[in-house]
Amino acid sequence: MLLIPFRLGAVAYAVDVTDVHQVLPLPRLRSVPGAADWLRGVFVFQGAVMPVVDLCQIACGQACPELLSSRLLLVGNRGTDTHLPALGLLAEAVTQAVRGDTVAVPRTVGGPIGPAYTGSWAQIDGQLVQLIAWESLTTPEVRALYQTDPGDDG
Amino acid sequence: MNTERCCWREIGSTGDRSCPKLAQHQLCVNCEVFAAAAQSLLDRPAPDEYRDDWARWIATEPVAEDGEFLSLCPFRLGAEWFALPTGMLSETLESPAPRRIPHRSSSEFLGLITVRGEPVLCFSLRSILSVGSAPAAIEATKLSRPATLVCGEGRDRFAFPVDETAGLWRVATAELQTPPATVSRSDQTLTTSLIELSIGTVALLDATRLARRIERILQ
Repeated sequence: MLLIPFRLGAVAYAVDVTDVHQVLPLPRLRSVPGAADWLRGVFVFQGAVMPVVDLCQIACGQACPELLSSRLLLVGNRGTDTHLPALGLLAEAVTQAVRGDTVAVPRTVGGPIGPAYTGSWAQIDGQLVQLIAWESLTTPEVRALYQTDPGDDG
Repeated sequence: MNTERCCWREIGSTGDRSCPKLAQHQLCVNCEVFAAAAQSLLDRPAPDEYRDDWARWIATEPVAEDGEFLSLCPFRLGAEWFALPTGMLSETLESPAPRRIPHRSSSEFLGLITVRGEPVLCFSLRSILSVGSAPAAIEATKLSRPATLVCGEGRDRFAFPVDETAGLWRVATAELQTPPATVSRSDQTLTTSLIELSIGTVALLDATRLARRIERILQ
């Protein structure tokens, strides 16, 4: 399968290209005060407000550096009637698309390995990468964290 | 990275060629050190204007394109621009010299060239269309790069040399203009329509009529 590999901190991850609408450079963002710290901000994509989730912040607790190679992966809503993606994922070193092979998790392990936003595994050139299960970032519970908690202001 | 900084200029293919990796890669562009250096160019901070430009660019909805479009490959013969539908063309070659065929080659039929190991008939479109050569002044100002275009598929392939190609253009069929009656009524004409591009007025040729004309030359 064709994957877009990237880094979060020093660890390699990837997304399947079939999930990705578009890869964009990091545009100027408007921050959302009071929202969860991994909600990096919002920007306007084709006339709609698009949230940007900082995967670096989620995975390693520090903001993704604003480099030319830090790019946005617009994912979600493939095959639905809307032409807009669901959200933008910000990651480091998004520079290529490469072929990889899936690596199965043995049944004896009994379930997924790693946090909820990660999913299946793949190998690129002998390097093991974990795929991002971005669907877990679009659930209503997660979306609730986009909102400013009025208690935080005081 | 720092120790190997610009190694391609010092010991690589643009330097003194003493790098041991050249034996494997031939050119520095094939080497992983060069690739890593290229990647590292992207590890620079994104400039503010760059991020603002992108924010502006992606905010607008893409303009819906309606109507029909046509892909053209314009080429220059002498001072005039012609074009064929891109689907008709299969290859662009650096002009190989055609091999003349005794008693058959003429001003219109130049001979045979080899395209990926297969012989292909080569014609002079300039002489078929009766185009004169460009004045030397035009030839000197243009960054012209002669090429040979291969047209058609399978056994019906033929090739013709051109003075310059101008890439591929996507044009709306609505922009095509009908040629003046003096041109379109002539039996000999191969021009179906004219189109204004930034390179000049381009005459779109009728591919099937051109193929028929070429068949007649061979008979």
